[in-house]
Amino acid sequence: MSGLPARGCLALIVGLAALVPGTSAQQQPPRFAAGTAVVSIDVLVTRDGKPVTNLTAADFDVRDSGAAQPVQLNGIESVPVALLLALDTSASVRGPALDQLKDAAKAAVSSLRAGDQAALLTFSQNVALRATWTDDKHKLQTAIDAATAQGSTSLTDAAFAAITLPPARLSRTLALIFTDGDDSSSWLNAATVVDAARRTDAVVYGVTLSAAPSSGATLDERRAKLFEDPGLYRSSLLPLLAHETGGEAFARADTKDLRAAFLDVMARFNQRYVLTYAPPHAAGSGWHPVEVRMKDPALTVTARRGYTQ
Amino acid sequence: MVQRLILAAGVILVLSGSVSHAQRPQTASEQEQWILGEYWTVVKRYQNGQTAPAIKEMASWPQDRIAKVQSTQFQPEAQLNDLLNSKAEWKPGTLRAAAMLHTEVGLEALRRRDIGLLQFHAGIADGWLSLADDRSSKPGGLRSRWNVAVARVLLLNGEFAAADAYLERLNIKIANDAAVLLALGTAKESRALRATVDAPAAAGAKLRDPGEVQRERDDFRAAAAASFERVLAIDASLVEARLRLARISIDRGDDAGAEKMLSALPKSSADTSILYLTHLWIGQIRERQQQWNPAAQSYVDAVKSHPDGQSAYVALAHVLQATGQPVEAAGVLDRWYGRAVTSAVADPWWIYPLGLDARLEARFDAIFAEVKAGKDAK
Repeated sequence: MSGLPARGCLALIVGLAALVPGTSAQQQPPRFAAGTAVVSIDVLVTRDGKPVTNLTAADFDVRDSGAAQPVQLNGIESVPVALLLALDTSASVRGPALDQLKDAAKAAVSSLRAGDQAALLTFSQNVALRATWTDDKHKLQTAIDAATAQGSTSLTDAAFAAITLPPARLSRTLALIFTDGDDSSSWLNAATVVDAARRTDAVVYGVTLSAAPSSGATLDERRAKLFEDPGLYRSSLLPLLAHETGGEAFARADTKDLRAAFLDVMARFNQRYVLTYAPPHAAGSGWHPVEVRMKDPALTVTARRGYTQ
Repeated sequence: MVQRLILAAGVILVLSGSVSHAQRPQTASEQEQWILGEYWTVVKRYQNGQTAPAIKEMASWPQDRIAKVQSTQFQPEAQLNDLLNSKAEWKPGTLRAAAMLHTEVGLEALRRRDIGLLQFHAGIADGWLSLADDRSSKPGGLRSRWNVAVARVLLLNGEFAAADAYLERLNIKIANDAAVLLALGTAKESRALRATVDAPAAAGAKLRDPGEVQRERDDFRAAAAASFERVLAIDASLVEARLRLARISIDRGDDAGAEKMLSALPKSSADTSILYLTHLWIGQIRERQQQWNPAAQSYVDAVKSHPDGQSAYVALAHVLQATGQPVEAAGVLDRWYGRAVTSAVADPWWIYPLGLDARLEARFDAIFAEVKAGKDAK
């Protein structure tokens, strides 16, 4: 992470935050705080696009800042899922599309297992937290049903809000972000939010109703372009957020396909692996690039690109 | 002249109710007279308070028939003054009432998202307003204000290209009008803001050529800046033009130029939108300079000046998150969530691309009232 101030400079900023009327920062543990005891990497392994299960730690080659790491494979069955639904409810989603979106969201909530939690964030130009972390499915479904569609789209601001929401305790956070169009009212630019994703441990899955036009460029090349000129490449936000956090992005042509898409995301998230290792002793503060490879070249792995200590 | 007098006579006949369906004229000239009579009957009904039925009836008229009325009535410029003095249909009050009738039909079309029909009726209305001004409309006059309101309707509906083209034409018709130039610059600036190479598209669509999009965006920015500079040359007190010039400087990476512009803005203003955006933009400049504390301070000032400004909360949360304080960042957003559901006031940043004064209903209401007052005075 370049350009961050030393810790000593931050006291005033904290004080200023308190000046925002009514701000009361909840005392919850930050993610990837200084002194990270264990690095945890949430990964998906696929063969021909389909998740692969029954792998062992020996199948992975993990490098932290270029140095190979001995990893442990943690069973995800024992770790609850925290599903954050961030849904575009701008005017363009009005009518049957909104009903189909609600149906998809409720299906995702229904698929949660005992101990899992979910939260609901909706956005048009306005980003609103409609339900905070809860395992009460009825409450969540009521919040989903109450959503109405109007206004323009603050996708980028909403994505930032989604990855900034404090995680539910001891869980794997899945931020499932849906949008049907172009951002038209965000303050933050897409590069800022992709950068901010380096400081969270949420895994972003994006579902869109229209794909960004194909360019033949790799995600890394698209990322470089985005940082070069964020305004020109803003529609790459969800694929790049997914890329940064180790998630995936899907484009669907019709809202009728949303239910299947959301359930597919839930299924894929439940077929991932959590790799853990102790951070290298020499690790200083800042950005630590992580590279996860499969020893079997027929397998493809999707993992976050690093972490901020 | 002869033809015009005949037409006028035809209008009088129709208005007096002496032309019935059975007496529908047969020759082309008679048909023209008959259509004119029918048309002005509808306008009179509107003028006399039968608003809803008049709007409904005019909405049912085919476009070519309406266009025929206007083209017929628009022709003999040399005789226009005589006619304006002698016939009710040529009096400014009646012509403006006709313009308002088409405005209402156009706004109805807009509610159905029929932008093309809105533009058609706006064109007809503008024709009547031009005629009412004896084809010599002045900056700041009713025709100018009405056209700016229509253009802002287009902007408000995201029709940036249509608004741009509309205002380009208006800028020729009514030159050196600060309000027209401000709206024109806004349309250009918004087109620059919307420029993207990877807008969502159907599967298989190709990426636009980045160089071409970049040039297009730079051209829009340059045209917008030129418009705002002309606004300030006409009326230096129009702070929105200065604010927009500062925004363009920020977008071009010229933070020093932006600061110079922003420092020329009044430090206190009744217009909270201007204050809010000024704080927001200074915060952005400080953030780019990695002056985190001043950036955060500016964002707090923005929240204080406009407590329903989501962008300021998001910006502050971002500074906190970027400086390793995710809990505090979440706290700031949490505070926003508390307002998000109940807030009825739009963030000025959201309406910035549409024009900061987006009170279009008030604009139109004022124009309708002005036209009505003009009619009553006669």
